[in-house]
Amino acid sequence: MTPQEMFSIIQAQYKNITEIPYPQSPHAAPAHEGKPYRDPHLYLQCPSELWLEFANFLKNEENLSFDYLTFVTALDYAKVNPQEPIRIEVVYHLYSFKHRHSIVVKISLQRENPVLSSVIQVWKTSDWQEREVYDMFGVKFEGHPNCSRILMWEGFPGWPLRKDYVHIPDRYDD
Amino acid sequence: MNTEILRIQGQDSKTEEMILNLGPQHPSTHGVLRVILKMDGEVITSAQPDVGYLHRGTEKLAENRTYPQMLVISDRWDYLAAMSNNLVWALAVEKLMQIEVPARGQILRVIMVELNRIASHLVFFGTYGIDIGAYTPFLYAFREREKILDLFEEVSGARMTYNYIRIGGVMADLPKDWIGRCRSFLEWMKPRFIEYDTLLTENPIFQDRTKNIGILPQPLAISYGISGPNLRGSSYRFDLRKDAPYCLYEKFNFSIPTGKNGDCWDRYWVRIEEMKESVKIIEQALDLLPEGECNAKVPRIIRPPMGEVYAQIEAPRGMLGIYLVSDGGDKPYRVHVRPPSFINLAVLQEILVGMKVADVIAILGSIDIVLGEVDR
Amino acid sequence: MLNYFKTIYKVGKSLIQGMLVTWKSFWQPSITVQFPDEKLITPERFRGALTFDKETCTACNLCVKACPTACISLEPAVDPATKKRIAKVSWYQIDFGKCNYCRLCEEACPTKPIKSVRHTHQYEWGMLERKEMFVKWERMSPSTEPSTSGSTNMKPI
Repeated sequence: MTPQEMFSIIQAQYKNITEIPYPQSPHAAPAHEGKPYRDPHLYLQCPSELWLEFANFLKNEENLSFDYLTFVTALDYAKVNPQEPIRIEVVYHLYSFKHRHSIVVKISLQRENPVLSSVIQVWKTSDWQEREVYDMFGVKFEGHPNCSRILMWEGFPGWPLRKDYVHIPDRYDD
Repeated sequence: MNTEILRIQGQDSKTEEMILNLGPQHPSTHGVLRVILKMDGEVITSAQPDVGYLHRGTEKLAENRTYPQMLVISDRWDYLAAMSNNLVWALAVEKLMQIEVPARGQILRVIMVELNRIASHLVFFGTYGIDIGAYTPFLYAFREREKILDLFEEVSGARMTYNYIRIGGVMADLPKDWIGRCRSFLEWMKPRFIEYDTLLTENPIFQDRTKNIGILPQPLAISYGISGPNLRGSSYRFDLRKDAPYCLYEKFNFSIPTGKNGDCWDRYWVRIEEMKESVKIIEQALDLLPEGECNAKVPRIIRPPMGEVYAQIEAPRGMLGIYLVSDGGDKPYRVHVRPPSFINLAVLQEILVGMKVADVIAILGSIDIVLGEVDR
Repeated sequence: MLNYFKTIYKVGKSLIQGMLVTWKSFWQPSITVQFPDEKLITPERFRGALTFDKETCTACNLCVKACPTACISLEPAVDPATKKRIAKVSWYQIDFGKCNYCRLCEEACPTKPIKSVRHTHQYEWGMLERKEMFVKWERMSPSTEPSTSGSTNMKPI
């Protein structure tokens, strides 16, 4: 299905979910005549309260049937960049085996105490990947049975992948 | 004989749950992996893998390295299949900058990645034999691997961290007579598969230990995000080389082996068959290798435009992907690696429940993880 | 009862078949290389330890920028007569504890026909102390050997 058809099905159910337009940016490498690049999937912006309901809709709807969650990650837009507001953005990339199409959903959260509902009941693979997002960015996932650090050790201070992370010297630094 | 006394069930015998730590230092966990097993007697009631012992923070390091410097770091994710890691990074940056690699460069990449697939599956074959208890196939597999690593050493200069596939093509063209040596290796490799079948695949002891163990049903596999030979062992036919081809794979003629039951033997069998298919692909690629340039014109300092890209390939362990966000500078803004081993390992907490302790190593070995990729 | 004997026959047959494979390879020549009496010939592109040629280097800093672990440091030379920077290097240091033998510095070096920093075929190198890992080539001092703080098996090539 093309991105426009998918967007019309989604827009019929959920009015608050908007499509992120292809970026137009003034500055880019001169070799590309100032044109930024983005993959040709459908990119959606979802408010954080609607996420669990929307995830169930994406999985169960006949024409969409996104049964495979490819990855979950987050980005930190902390640098004061005039084009981007300051936020943490959680990105979910979904794929459908039946129809062979992909979609990307982005959810913006505030940087202090970000909270999002977990989709572990919808796609079980988000178990460990959401734990990794918690470990690296500090985003708490509600409804997750075991939202704890997975790659760093328990009790590690700070959220490493945030842009304002400053390393506190510990016993591993020489 | 007092058989009646012996048959009385011990009504007052208490059993307690035992916690066994399959610790980070273990010869069969393929790296530093810790699994906390809770057992009732010999039957496992819960299994919690604990990862993070090899975490090196590549996603944070990437924010301070330029794009060609990241190739050196990408070698170290899945260190048994380093060419695939280099390839996925190069594909991501090339997609973002819209660079077309010439045909000779792409076919050279395919040859290297498929040779690396054979090498990586040979390690799986050898170490899986040792996990089950068969010590002979290990050195046979490593003897074959030495020949492949010698071929790689002649092409790139190193045996494990090749840094050969670069942005825009490859590091350098082949040395003279490399193709002849590669062909003689392939001729030598073909009768070896018959040897491996005699030693391990058709061995009834091996089959008893791996058939009907660790069955991964297909809906559970899709829900857990499994990819690669594990998903194909659960009888779902999905391979990125056929379904979303990259790097001129559509020109080659090969089949995708698929298992039937989703048990350990099926996942093992899929990898052995994949090795045979890789030999076929390399022969076709060597016949198809065109003359000409192998690198595209790439600027000295690589500055991609703003934007984001997701590129994925079929690595020997699954679907390896890179999500790259660039802000127009010469260093990436955010890099996320989609690690197949990390995502495949999560299924361990479901399929180990109900199995006996002796099967833990067989099931863990059949998922084929590499800790460099699990922890990044 | 019949099952019992069938299993014994099946297992015994597979044992004999496996032993035939190992018996055949028993008679093949051994492929082990008896190091250190015999050594393998390293291929032409082998990436061994780095060496530096201090007369041809122009102190352009391209290798310093190319290195992913920042293990190269150098200082350009100043001509004592005119007090201006000349295109030569005063000292050049590589921290071999951080070097990962990736060949990016050799590719970045613009010197022709032979590059100033290049890989040799040396792979046998042991050190007793950590400070021996810093190898420094000095151009203005009277000695022309690379000086390290301590003894090392590293021979200048």
